[in-house]
Amino acid sequence: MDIIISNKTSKPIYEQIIQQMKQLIMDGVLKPGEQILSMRALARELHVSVITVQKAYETLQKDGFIETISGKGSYVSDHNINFIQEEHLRKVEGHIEEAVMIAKQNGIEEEKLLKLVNLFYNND
Amino acid sequence: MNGLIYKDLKGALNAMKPIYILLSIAFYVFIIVRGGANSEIISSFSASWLVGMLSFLIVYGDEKSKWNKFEMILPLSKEKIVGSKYLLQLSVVPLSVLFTFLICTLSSILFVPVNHFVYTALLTLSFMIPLISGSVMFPLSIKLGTKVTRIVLMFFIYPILKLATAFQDGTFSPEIIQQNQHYLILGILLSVALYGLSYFISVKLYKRKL
Amino acid sequence: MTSDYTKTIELNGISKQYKKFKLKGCTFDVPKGRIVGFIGANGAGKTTIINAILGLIKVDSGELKIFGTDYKANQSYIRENTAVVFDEYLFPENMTPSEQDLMFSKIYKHWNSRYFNSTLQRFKIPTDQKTGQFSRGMKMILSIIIAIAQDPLLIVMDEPTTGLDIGNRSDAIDLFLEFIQDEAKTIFFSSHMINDLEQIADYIILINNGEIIFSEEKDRLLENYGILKCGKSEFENINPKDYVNYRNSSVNCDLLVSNKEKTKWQYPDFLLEDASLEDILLFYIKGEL
Repeated sequence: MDIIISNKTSKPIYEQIIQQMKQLIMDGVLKPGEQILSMRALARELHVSVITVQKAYETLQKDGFIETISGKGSYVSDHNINFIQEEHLRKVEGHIEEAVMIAKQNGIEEEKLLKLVNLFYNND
Repeated sequence: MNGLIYKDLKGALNAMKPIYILLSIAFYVFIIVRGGANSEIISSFSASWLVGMLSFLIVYGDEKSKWNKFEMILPLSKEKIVGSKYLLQLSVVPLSVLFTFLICTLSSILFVPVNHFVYTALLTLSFMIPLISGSVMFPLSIKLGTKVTRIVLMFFIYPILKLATAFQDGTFSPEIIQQNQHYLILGILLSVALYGLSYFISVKLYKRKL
Repeated sequence: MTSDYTKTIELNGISKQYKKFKLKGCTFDVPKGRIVGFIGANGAGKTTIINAILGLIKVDSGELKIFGTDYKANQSYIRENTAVVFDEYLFPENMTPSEQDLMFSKIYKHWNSRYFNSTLQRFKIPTDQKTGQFSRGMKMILSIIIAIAQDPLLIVMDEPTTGLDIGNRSDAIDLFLEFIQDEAKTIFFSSHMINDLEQIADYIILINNGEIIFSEEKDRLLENYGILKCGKSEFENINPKDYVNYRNSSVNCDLLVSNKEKTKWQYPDFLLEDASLEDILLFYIKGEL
């Protein structure tokens, strides 16, 4: 499991952990049901506070990516296919929202935007 | 408590470099050889006194190295912590008696055999001196620190010298000793009782606060 | 004695009067399983508080609970399960680590000899050399190993890494993090090495002039505190309620704010930067307020 934390960016460390773990899971590097480092072990490896990792793990669990079983450890969730999809969808929604905002602010019409979407879809 | 005794014994052994021991032995042999008959009296007293100071050295060493601070947080009761010091001093008593025995034997070989009664008195006193000095030293150093205690202990030298000369100049002649042997036994009992009393006082005085 | 407590250390209104210094009603908790860092200027009261926690001084008023029980009631249990690292080396200098191993095994019920020896080996500390001859760094690492080898529930440390070089400090941190892998274990330590705390501490407690200023999650501190920068002339325009403290120069002013988000939309035109733990501490110690 590779996780790289930067102290220099403004992104809080727990968010970095969340993002990277999600990426590892979605990319299939961490397989469903696989055991991951415990909160404390990861905190130790990264030299960060246990609370930081705890927050990350709690969010990951809430979003369905991992499960923590008290006394046993933390595991990649078995049922994450849907959530992966949801995550991707969320990303797309975000990008579209941004694109629409820019378009509206700069007088680009809806039709033009839809055409662009079509173009990209059919381009490969 | 065993851990503390181990520590103090180790400390004492580590501090006793062979050269010191050799020098001390040479010193006493020299005194006896040069002093002639009766020199065993003053030698025996000073040896008992010196050996009795061992625990003081350890207490002093603890104070200097700040072990005292760590000692306060040990998971041992006051009774055990103070007890380990008292037990250590007890272990010095046989040494003191042994040295007196060796000194008298040496003197007997070199000169005149030491008078039986004087010999008994010296052995008794060699038993008592470490106990008495310990009884005084421990409560004092616990309450007032080793600086004060050192000064007080120095005052003991005078009575001991007086006692030694009393043997040598005949005040405590063998006849007098023979007639007063019960005082020797009393002395032993009293010094032991004093030692026990001192222990209880020390436990009461021992503070685990900075 | 159960392990049913959630707060390893609880201080409530601890006060103590000295001739020239006073601890005023100090209250804070150290939660179980956490690393709690204790910061403050020299003379602010860190050592006094630690001595109070260890029962080495008598306090004038206030409550102290360790492992959920009143300190006075269970002193021997508390001492058996608390290990201490002071900022100086307190052990006999003419003893070797092997001899210390033997001594401690006779003093502490749970002394872990195997851990002691294997960790000494790991840090290349010679077991048959008199400890008085060790460098300061080695002595401190040894002190830390001695504390951990007691297998305590709580380790209290007073500036354990002061004066250590970078390599030693890194070793010390590794030891702390290993120790805390067990959820039942807690670490409470005062330090001037703010950078170390910024990395591994879960909570930070700040003391200044005998008063506890805050006891906060480290993450929250770093997320919420910030430094607002403005020109000297603009300083009067800023509401004193909106900042914690400030430091002036002749040309500009730095203000410590405790709510970055709020400050951002209150004063959108000013430069607002993140505050490190060191910044926060410095503002409290050297700020004009």
